[in-house]
Amino acid sequence: MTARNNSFDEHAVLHALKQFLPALSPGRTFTYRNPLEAFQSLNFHDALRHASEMLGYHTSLSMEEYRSYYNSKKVKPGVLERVLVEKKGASNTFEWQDKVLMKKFTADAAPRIGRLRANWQKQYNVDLDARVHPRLFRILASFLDQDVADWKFPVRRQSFLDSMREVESNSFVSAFNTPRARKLLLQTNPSINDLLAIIVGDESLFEQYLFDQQFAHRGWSGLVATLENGGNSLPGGSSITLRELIVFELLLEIDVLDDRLGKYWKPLAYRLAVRPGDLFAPVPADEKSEVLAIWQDAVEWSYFEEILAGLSCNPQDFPNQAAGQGPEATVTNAPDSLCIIGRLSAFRNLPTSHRAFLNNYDFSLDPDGEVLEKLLETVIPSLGAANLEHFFSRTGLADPDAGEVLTEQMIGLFGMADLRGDLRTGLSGELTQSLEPLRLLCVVEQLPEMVLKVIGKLKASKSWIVNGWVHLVVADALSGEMRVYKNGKMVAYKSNRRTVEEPVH
Amino acid sequence: MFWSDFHFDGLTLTYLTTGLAITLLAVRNGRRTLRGHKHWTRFVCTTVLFCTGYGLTILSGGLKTLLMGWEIMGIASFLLIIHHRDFKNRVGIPAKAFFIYRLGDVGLLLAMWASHHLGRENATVISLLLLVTASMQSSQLPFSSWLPQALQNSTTASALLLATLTVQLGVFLLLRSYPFWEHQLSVRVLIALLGLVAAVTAVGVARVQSSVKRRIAYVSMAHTGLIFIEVAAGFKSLALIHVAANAFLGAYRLLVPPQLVRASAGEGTHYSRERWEDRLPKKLKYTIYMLYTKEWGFYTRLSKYLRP
Repeated sequence: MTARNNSFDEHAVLHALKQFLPALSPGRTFTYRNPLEAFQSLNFHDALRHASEMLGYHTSLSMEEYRSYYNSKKVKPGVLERVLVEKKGASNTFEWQDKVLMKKFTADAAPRIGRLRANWQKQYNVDLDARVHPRLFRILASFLDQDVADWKFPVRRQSFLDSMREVESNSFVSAFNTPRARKLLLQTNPSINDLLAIIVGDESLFEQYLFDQQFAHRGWSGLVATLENGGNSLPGGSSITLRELIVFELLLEIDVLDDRLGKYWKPLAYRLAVRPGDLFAPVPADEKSEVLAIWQDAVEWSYFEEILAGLSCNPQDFPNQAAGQGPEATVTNAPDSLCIIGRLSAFRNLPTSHRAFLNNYDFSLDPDGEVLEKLLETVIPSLGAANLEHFFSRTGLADPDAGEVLTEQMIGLFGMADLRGDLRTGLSGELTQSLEPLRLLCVVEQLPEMVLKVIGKLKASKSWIVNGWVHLVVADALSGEMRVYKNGKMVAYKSNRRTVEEPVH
Repeated sequence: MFWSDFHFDGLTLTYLTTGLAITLLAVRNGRRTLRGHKHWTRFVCTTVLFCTGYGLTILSGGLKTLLMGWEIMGIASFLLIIHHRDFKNRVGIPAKAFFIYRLGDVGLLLAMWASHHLGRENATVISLLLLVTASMQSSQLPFSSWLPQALQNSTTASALLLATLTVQLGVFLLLRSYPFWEHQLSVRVLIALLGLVAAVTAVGVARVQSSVKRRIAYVSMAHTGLIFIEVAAGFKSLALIHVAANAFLGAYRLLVPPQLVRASAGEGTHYSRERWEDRLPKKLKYTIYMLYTKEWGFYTRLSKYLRP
């Protein structure tokens, strides 16, 4: 996230929007991308907090769900205690344990996104979304339609705005109800800035307004942004850009406002009672987010404990773990949550209930870590993205009702729309209902010092590891000891109750 | 005498078999998608209620019984539309469908009153009232916009029942009251005209529709328009065959939705093919396209008065 000043830079804002919007590809093609990519420069738990406060995303399970995990022994008490000691220190453990297990937290306040645009309803009593969205979606769906409609959009091989211009100038029936918006489209080549000057009026609010507007239908916007990035993949050789979508939506908004408020109305900024706070201001940590972070870590390490115990070469070190998969063994349902880089012999003891991505790698043949660097560079971003896509689909990132697959309808063969008419993002709820949200655990068989050196050299996947978007565990190739990467250090891992923190360097 | 309230003939038989088949299909489909869901029990109960209403209606021997069945069915249909809705977020509670249903009942009630008090002399009034009710039920003009919206908002299993059975009942009403208006040319012409206009409008809207469910609704509406013409022309058997065919076609389309396609699959083949619309003069083509894309403005016009 960059520092933002008041002047409106169309390019920069469009770029930022594209980063924040979900990647939604048409139809069955599905490329994984970290749904919170825009927040990836932050530490994982900070990113969750920011995304939830700013965009209203559901980035973690609910407190009740976590507590039910604890009650059903999916979260082991010992692991929870260890996480508490690690995060809060031994002296505060009891206090925090009470908060984690018992304390009632108030429901979240409304997210920051949408606050500015809500003023249309409050100050002018116009429900813009209800009037603009159906019209916009219908035209967009017709324009993007792949194979549902018998009669396709009549203009081909042109960009979206040019197509609309062509239709408007040659049709006796207009897409608009009032003359001004139609004139703006036909006679000028309006920039986003010009239109926002009419609608919002205050340049310092433009960016926030655009975010509010586009996130009111993030599915469609995400689809358009993806189509724009992917080059020309539309049928009939047409093309569409996010800028065109925004311009057209702004025109429709002017149309609706002209229709509802008469010819003369003041821009939004003039009737603003309270200026909404900055959308991108940092979100301070509060008790609830900290407790959620503790729970998430506890869930993950409860699962990982078992995997690591199985992987360890010295089963006698782990008296908790029965050699032949005792009743403690749980079947994890979390795809793409385990990746092992090491010799084949190291995989031998892997619990069978886990699906792992195995990469054969011999540390003795890689004295300066070059092979490991390449491996991490390819494995972590791709597996990590797939893993997080499942993770956030499970937590119900954008749409907590995603499990309610029954209400959706198919639009133009490129997506499913929900009740509000927006396209669904993320994976289908059916797929993720029974998953556990776990981050990727990457186990590397190497010397801890060497791994630290390699991490320093990494490019694309460095932020994944450093900011905790994946867990990295090093199995010391010589001693067989496990070490966890934490805050730039390798910390010894102990699966039993107490952890002795002893940095390597 | 109880049994005189009921009537059984070829018309009833057709509707009974079609209804039975569609209901079984819907329950089977609902079992697949709703089973284990908290809504499953409610769905079954609503469906049973719907069947009761449907059975009463098609077996009725007089307007009183018919009205009773009609009412039960109306309530059940509304329950089916809102079936999957939590009222926490009041996104589009389909007030429109409910409103149209109730309006239809008023037509039926008035027809009943008229038949009691005005007698056979005023058959035109009665026929017109029945026609209004029938066109509301079948989502014909000018009450056409409730079906696409209702279908869009309902879950697949209940959508199946709605789109295929409820809509056909408008035709049933016309067929059942056939002796009333058989000898009135004006009414017959009116029915045929209504059907024609609805068919032409709906088929155009269906052609430009990119949403699968809405498209099914408009196709069904276009067919019902044709059936109206057939009924008006006196081809009762043809109309019955068409009713059944329409019901099963709708059910098939809802049950077997097209697959999502890959981004650029099949591009060349579909776009090289020219439609007859493409041969129209440009101005006319764009005008018709926009008109149909806006669904003639019926949707917005009705929505203006009936905000969900």
